[in-house]
Order: sequence, then C-alpha cells, then structure tokens
Amino acid sequence: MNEFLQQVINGLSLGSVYALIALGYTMVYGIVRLINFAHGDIYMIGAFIGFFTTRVLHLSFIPALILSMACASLLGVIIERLAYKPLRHAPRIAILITAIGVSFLIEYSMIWAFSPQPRAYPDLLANYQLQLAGLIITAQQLFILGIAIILMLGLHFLVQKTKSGKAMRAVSYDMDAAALMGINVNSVISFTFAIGSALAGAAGLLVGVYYNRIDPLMGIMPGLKAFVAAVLGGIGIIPGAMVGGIIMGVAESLVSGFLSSTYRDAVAFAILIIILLVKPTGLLGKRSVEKV
Amino acid sequence: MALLETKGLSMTFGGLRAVAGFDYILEEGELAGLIGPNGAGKTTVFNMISGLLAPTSGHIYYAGEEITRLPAHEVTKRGMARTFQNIRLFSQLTALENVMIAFHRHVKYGYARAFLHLNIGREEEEIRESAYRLLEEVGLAERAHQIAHNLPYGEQRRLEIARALATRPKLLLLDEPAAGMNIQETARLKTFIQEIHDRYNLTILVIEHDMSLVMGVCRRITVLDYGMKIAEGTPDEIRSNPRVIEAYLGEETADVAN
Amino acid sequence: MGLLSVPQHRLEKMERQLIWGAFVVLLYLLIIGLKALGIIDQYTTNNLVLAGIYVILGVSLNLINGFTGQFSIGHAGFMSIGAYFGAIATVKFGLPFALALLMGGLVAALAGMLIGLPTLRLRGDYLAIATLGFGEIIRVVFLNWEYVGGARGFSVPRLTNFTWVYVIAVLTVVIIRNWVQSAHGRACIAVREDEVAASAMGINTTLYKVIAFSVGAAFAGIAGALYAHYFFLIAPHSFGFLRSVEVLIIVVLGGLGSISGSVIAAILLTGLSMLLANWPYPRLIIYSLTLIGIMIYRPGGLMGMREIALPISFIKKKGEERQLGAS
Repeated sequence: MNEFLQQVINGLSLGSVYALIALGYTMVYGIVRLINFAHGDIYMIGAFIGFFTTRVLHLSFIPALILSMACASLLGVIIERLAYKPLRHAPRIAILITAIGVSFLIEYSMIWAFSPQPRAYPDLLANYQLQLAGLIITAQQLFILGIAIILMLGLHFLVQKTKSGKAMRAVSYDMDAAALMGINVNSVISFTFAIGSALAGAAGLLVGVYYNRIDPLMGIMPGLKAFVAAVLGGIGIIPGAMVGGIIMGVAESLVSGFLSSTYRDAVAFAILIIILLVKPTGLLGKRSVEKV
Repeated sequence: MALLETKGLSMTFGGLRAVAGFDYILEEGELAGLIGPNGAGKTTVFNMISGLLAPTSGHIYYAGEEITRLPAHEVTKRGMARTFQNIRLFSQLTALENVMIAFHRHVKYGYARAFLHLNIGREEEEIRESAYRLLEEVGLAERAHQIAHNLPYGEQRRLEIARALATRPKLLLLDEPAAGMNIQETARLKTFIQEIHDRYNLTILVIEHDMSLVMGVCRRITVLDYGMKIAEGTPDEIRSNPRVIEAYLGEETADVAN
Repeated sequence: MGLLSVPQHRLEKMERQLIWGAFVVLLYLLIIGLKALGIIDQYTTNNLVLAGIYVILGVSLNLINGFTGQFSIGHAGFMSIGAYFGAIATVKFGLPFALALLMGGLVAALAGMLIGLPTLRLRGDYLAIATLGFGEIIRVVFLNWEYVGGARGFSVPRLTNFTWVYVIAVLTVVIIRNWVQSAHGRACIAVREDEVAASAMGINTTLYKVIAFSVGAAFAGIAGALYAHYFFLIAPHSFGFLRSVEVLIIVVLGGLGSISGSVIAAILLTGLSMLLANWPYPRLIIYSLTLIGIMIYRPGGLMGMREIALPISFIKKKGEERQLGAS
C-alpha cells in the first residue's frame, strides 16, 4: 500500500509535466486541428535554454524559467509561421507530415550542433526530502507540482477572462465565423502557439531539474505521451489535458513500479488505443456526428 | 407489391427529433416525390433507407425483406442506389473511372485473380465498355476521360446519376438533384429523370426542396414537415393542401426574417 | 469503336509487358555482371539490397496510404514482425529461407488484420497516431521478449542475397500494380476518394481497408525478413519510428498513389544515405527539410498520382486511353 502511494506521488509530479505539455497540444489542436508533432521538441529546446542560461549565464531558477518560456514561445510562433501557415487549407495529413518533418529537423539539428550526448543539469533547487508516514516527497516534486499548478491557473484565467482568451475560444469554435466577426485569426493562432509553447518550455526546464539530464531526443517520448494525455482528456479541451496528464503520469509510475520500467512506454500507447476505440472524444469530450 | 416500405421510422440526434414515425409505401415502377421545407428530415429519411444512418426506431423493408440497419453496401447490393444532395463524386478520377467503380457489385473475379491479373482482361474490358456505354446513354461520352471535378455542375449531377445507374438498381433515390441548377438545367433534368425511369424500368424517389421539378415529374408526392408526414397525394392535391401551403409559407416568413 | 478495339488493346498490353520484362531482366544482368567484374563492391551491394528492401516497404505502404487513403505511420512495426518471425523460422526451427520469408509475411499480415479491424474506424490523423502507437507497442514487446534476445538483439545468419531482394521487389511492384489496376483496387481508390460514396456504390469499405492494411503489412513483413537475413543482427531499435518515417518520406516524395514514384524515391533516398553515410545527422536534416519542402511546394511528390509510361510504342495508337492511377 505504501509502495502504491509512493508511486502515485511520483506519478503526480510526472503527470503535471505531461499536463503542461499536453495543454499546448490541445490548444493547438483546438484551433487549427493539427497534431503538432514538433511540440515535444519545443519542450526539449526549453530544457536546453534552461541549461545554457543556468550553466553559462549562471542565472537562478526564476529568470531561467522565464527565458525558457520566452524562447520556446518564440520558436513555436516561428514554426507556425514558416511551416504550418502555408498549409492551412491543405489536407490535414499534409500538415501532419510537415509537423513530423519539423520535429525531425529540430531534433537532428540539435544533435548535429550539440552531439547526442546527454548533459547533466545544474542543481537549481535545494534537494530536501520530506518523510511522511513512510512516504518520501522531495522538494523538487513539490516545486514541479506547484509551478505546474500556478501556470495552469494562469492559463485558465487567460482563456476564460481576457479578450485574447475569448478570441481564442471563438476561433476554436468556428474559424470562419470568427474571422467574419473581425477577429484577426492569424494573430490568434500565433498567440495560441506562443502560449502552448511557453508551457512546454517551462515543462522542459522542470524536467531537466527533476531528472538531472537532458539530450536532444528527450522530447520524443514525453511529447507523444503528452499527446496521448490530450486525447485521453478530450483533445481541444483544456481541463481535459490536465486530467489526462495526471492520469498518464500516475499510470506510468504504477507500471514502472509494479511491472517493469521497460513497459512504461507501451502503457501510454495502450491507453491511447483503448481510448480511441472506446471513447475517441476523450474522457471530457462530447460526441460529434459526421454529416452525410 | 410494395418495393419499399417504412414503418414508424424515427431518428433522434441528441435531443432533436429529425424524423418521427414516418410510414411510407413505394410501389414498384412509381416515380414519386418527397418534399418539405428545409430541415424537414428528408435527407435523414434517405440516409436511413440507404443504410448510411441507423434509425433510432422503426423498420425498413425492401422487396419484402427487412433491411433496417443493414450497412450501405449491403443495401446497394439488394438493388438500391442513390445520389447525394452535395454531389459526392470521386472527384480526382475521370468520369469513366467513376462509373467503372460503380460496377463493383457485378465484378465476378476474386482477390487472388486481381493480384495475379489472371484472366481478368476480358471482364475488365466488359466493365470498361459497359461504363462507356452508360456514359453515352446519359450524354457524357465526350467527357469520359475528364476529371470529374472539372466537369460543369450540371454534368456532375448527371454523372452522379450515371454512377448510381451503374450499380443496376431497381430503386433509385435522388437527393435534391436540381439543387443549384438554373431553370433551363432543371427543365433538362426533368426530361432526363423521366427518360431513365422509362428506359431502365426504374422505381424512382426524388427528394426536392424546390417544388417545380417534383410537381412536373412525379405522379405522387409526400410532404414532410418537422419529421412528420403532413400530406400525400397528386401534385394538384398537394398544391391546394392548406397544411402544405402553411409549412412552406412559414418557411418563407422565416427566410424574410433572416 | 476505336477506343475499345480488342486486338489492338491486347497487342499494346503485350508489347508493354515485353518491354518492361526485358528491362527488368537486363537491369538484373547488368548489376550481376558489374558485380562479377568487381565494379560493384560489397559496400554498394549492401546498399542495392537496402534499396530493394525500401522499394518493397515504400510500394507496400503506398497501397495503404496512397491508394486506400488510410494514413499509417507504423510500417516499421510490421517490418519488425516479419524480421523477427522470419528469423525465428530459420534460427529456432531450421526452416528453409523461402518458408521463413513466407512466415514473416503471414505473421505480419495477421498482425495487420488484427490491428486493422478495430483501428480502421478511425480517420486521418487519429488513425496515424494509433498506428504509431502500435508500432511502439510492438517494439516494446520485442524488447521484453527474451526468447529473441530482448534489447541485446537477435543474431541471424545471412541467407538473403541481391537476387532474392531483386526478385521479390519486382514481384511486389507487379502484384501491387495488378491490384490497383483491377476492380478491387478501384474499390480501394474509391475508399480513398470518398468513403460514403464508395459504400453507396456497394463497396464494403471496412473490408477493403483491412485488405489493404494486411497486404501492405505482409510485404513489409517480407521486407523485414529479408532485412533480418542480410544484416546479421536485428534489435528492436532498428525498427523504431525513424524507420517508419523513412518509409513515409519515400511514399510522400514519390507521390501518394504512384508506384513508380515510390520505386524511384526508394532508390534516390538509399543513394542519398549512401553518399551521406559519414554525415548521419546532416542526412536526417536533409530528410526532414525534404519532407517539409514537398508538403509546402509540391504536395503531389515527384510523380503525383501518375505512373511512368513507356515513351515509345511500336504499335500505332488509335485512341487515347487513361488507366486508373495512370495518365
């Protein structure tokens, strides 16, 4: 039982990272119906920016976090403008293939530039351990969870209460109608990529701190898993991404704790296929019918 | 004998009742019409009959056999074909290829022979010839090698009908065949429907929003409003039926209000 | 009358088949000759074998993605099934090589069917992700299967040679071309163009999707078995997402719906990776830029949906004719 709770605790912080990445997937999908394959790589870039700002520029945690988010955000917007925007009216598969291309481009450019070797992350956060009824909770876990919650609350406020958030929701509901209402669809899309990528950048830094090592291919698996989390919660639905992320994190911890860590990656895809077959709209999604 | 019969056919989307207890009989050889204002449930009725939508409740019989909830391709195999309101051609393929595909249910050779091209030459030539002949019969022979997408609108409609005919149906369902056509095109279509009805010994059911086509070509008309049958009779009876007038007038006021 | 005059039609077809047949035989003799003369060395032979394997993979994925319009990005998963089961057949059971190829193909086809039946209800990008997921699950299964060596990999004797690969690549092209130029292949194309209309034409769309998926998987499995018996060692990481994407690039570059396009692209890409063998990362950067560039500037790929037609005919043509999938 203790072991179980311990794995749940470990899963919560991992899950909150997935949730942060999943939010970007879900927001982008909600607006342009694109599975942004490169999103996991933006998360990786976030981790690298964090690495350089702290190792080379010797910044502390908070400025590093802000810089990571800002650079990731910029990268997301540039990718959208250069690669996805020309294809906005192309078949969705064409954009998906492009996204796979962008993802590979970022990964292998980074490997070429910085070698595939993993790098050790500096210790940015004090490494306390809390012992509670036989359970171990680290300060880093609490930090990750706390920062993830703050960012998600911020996003919630942004989407629900601000004018930009309202424009985003309008475009996600009906792009053409929103354009007719005078909403600048292009800037809303850029804004969405900016916000989603910033969250991924933050997740990258947090993971760097937590696992202590980063490499150019580190974004592939968390990216795919976060996508699964987004589908699990109901793609396009912001609270869904949070719920999905947490479930994924906990499920993965439990499997690596009780079965074997080699099955960890298979779990995510098994969840994906089950959810696609049983309730493709996700846990929080509504049914939609194709019009004949 | 009734070729097509529906009993208590109903369809609910979410909480919305699109079709409610629709009873209908179509006799063999008829050329009948189903009309009603926008959103009356006509296309939903077609989709249920042709197997694209499973009804919430009710039954559909075709030539004495129950076909409720059969998938579309099974319904087609039993001798029913349809066209679509918003033309659904295989738009990147040629007119000839569109029609050849529709001969699918008459293909005799199996998968193994297809992989090995074992003696399929003659049958393929027959399919190609029949498709070409069908295009000739509907007046599209010169268009045979043009991409469907590039044909003028009226010809696309005609090609869609040719494609439906290639399945060699006994019953043909036409979903708003005159939609988007001007008066001359509609008049030509009227003659065309009459022609194919006689030439291929077909039973035809036409859905139309616009009344002029149906009034000119159908001998019996059924009127649907809010998913329910509100009238049935000859064109003259329908024209003077107060409930029908009300249903269509109501729509016109709504149109004006918009 | 001119369009369908039967004897002429048959004659032209025979002529085409003869020319192609002669080309295929001569090309084979040329390569074998150059090998005997030592002009083609072992390194180049390895790449020719690889090119042949990619031809099989590309053409079979094109049947699924290009002709039937079902977007799969898990082709390496089927390849790995064929590789492992083919290797099990020879290494563990001592079966003859030909039987091992067959077994690799059959097990992969079965997996294609099992995966296809439930997932083919999904459309577009969702199907793509589901196939990716299956590819990854298959990889993890082999990773944990000690019987075939787990993560350490599985040693396999070299039984494949250039002739095997050449013959099977040619057969793959012929068989899949035959299929797409038959009424059943037209049914697949109809599914790609418009599923609803196809079912209204009496086509059992699920059936044709499953056929395309299983046949595509079968050839990927055979390609995998050929691969396993050439490169001595197979390991789960040889069949990851990167491999699936390589095959996808071949199909997209050649043109979704063009068999000859896939053949050309498979050869081009293998040649490119041979040239860039010492610069593996720039190679992958070029790959990704190619993928993006094609989608933005030339979404039809090199060939669009066309096929290579013989430029000359000795028999005078009376009417023009366009075959399905060709122009």
